[in-house]
Amino acid sequence: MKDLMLLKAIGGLDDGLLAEYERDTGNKRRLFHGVRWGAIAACLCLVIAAAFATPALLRGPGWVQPQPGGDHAVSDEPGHIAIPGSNPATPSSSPTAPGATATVERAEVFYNTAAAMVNSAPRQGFAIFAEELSQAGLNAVAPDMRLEWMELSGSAGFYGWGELAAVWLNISNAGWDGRVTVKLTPADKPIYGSPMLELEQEEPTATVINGTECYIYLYETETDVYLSAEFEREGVAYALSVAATAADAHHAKADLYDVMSCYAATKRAPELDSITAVHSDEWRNDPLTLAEAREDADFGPYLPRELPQGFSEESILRFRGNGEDYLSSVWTYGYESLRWKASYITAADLPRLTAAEDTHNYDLALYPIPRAQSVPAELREVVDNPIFSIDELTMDVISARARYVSDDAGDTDGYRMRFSVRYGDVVVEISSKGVSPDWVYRQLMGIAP
Amino acid sequence: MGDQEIIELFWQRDEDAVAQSQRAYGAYCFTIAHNILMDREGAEECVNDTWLRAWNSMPPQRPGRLSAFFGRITRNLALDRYAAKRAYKRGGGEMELVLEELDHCIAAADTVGQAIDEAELARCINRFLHTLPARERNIFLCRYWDVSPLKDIATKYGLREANVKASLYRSREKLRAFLEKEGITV
Repeated sequence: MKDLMLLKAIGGLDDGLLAEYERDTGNKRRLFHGVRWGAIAACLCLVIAAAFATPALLRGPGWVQPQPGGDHAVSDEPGHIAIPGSNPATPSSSPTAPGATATVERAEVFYNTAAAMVNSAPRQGFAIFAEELSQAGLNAVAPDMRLEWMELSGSAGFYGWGELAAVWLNISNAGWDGRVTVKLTPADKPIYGSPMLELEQEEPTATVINGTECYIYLYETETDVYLSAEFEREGVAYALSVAATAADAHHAKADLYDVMSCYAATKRAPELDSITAVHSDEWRNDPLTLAEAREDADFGPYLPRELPQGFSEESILRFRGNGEDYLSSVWTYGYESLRWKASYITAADLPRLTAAEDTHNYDLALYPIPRAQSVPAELREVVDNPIFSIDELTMDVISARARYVSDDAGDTDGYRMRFSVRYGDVVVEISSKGVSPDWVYRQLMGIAP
Repeated sequence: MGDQEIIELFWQRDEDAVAQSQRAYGAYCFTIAHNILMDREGAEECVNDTWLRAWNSMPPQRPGRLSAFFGRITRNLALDRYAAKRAYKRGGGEMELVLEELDHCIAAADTVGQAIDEAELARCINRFLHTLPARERNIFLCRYWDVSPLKDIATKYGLREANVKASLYRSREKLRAFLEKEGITV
């Protein structure tokens, strides 16, 4: 079995190596479809000839008929779409750059249909933290050619060290309450968030818009439709998606096509380099050893002095970001587990503070299972995870939180507990399975910050 | 839906977390499991078990990358399942070849007391992987993380199959030397 043990151990590679491997092979990973698809995924050619005759239908009720000669003039010439240029200073839904337009020849649209909705292979990891895009950021990444219905918002995701991972631009259409999401990443560091089907039998068919090769995917059920598209242009990888009910499918298709046309027409490439994190130096997402965790200036003293017998370390994480700041540890022994998390108290914790005398806030004996029915709605939050002051912590309090499970099929017998203890401005949260209340009490009382 | 949003669903104990995970990573995890098991039903069970494990892990965990987090869980589940099957049946396929290749990389322990545990071996392998040049490392991972067939690796990297075999052979020899130097046996 040493061969299998070695193969399993290879799975322990760190996130950095795995991210690099996934970057290197992401474009090349062969996603297995053969058994999963009920029907063969095939290309469906759809010529939107009707769009030439009925532009209002294509765009849906939210579309404003441009006035001839005005800023939003649309060419009457069949086969072209005129997109007005926007004023970068006011990228609202009303582009106001008079006279600046681009014409994009309408393409023959090919939808590559899917029998089931799946995501592509590995996402580039990150999402350590996200920040809303400022107006300047929106200007930097939105196409400079836009249509009347486009309302913009967005966010940027950064790795913990501050490097931009991706930008998400939301382009909303109030006319039918729809939204096209555009994910932009550097083309040499793609993130796969929308379907990128690698078909078993056939290559997907491209739709060429203004010289840009795009791949459009369509997944339909009886009630819903999901569209996505991908293309690359000038060093930026675009992944678009829009979801809609079946009744709004034509709006979704039209909006997706419009957004793609705008990016195909735009002369200015998105300025991803200009998108920088405001709070990058505050972020941490560091796995630690126990020795390193004990040295942590904020939460090291709040760790248990010893571990339950037989338990070994599964993970210890020091995290700071998105308004959270904590040291979280997990130790396990077979199916038994101990989760020990120390964090600074926040406003969100305040409703869970309870005095020891208020047993209705925490004594599980008062609430028979199922607790979703026995616990009053206004107490659910505190009963689920009460926070006690260390000054009031006693074995009686802990015993009220411990329930012994001896007949849970498929699981081990033992105590289950979940509660928190406050030490000044630090909260220690315990969640355990198979650990004795005595042991927990001794460790909590032994904390001396 | 982004990774952070999915993780937040787990933290909120919102059952939509599983649906979103399935939507985002279902095929990815299925591919990992199926590469190992070559069995659709087994692979689907591994994927379902992955969501259960994830549900039990978050909170308190807050993975940096869900692809790595889910991928590891699925891979381990599939390998455990494979090990159980293997006890009474040799199914052939890519896994047998991969295991045979790795069998010579590590010596058996002379005594029980010298054997290394899985966690320490994983840390050691991680240190070893950092010593390899990037391309060689990624080819190695293609074979032994993804359990990809040699011809697929050759296609991915624009190499001949013989080149891939040579690269993997060099990497395995380096691994064997590394483990011997570290005094590691199992």
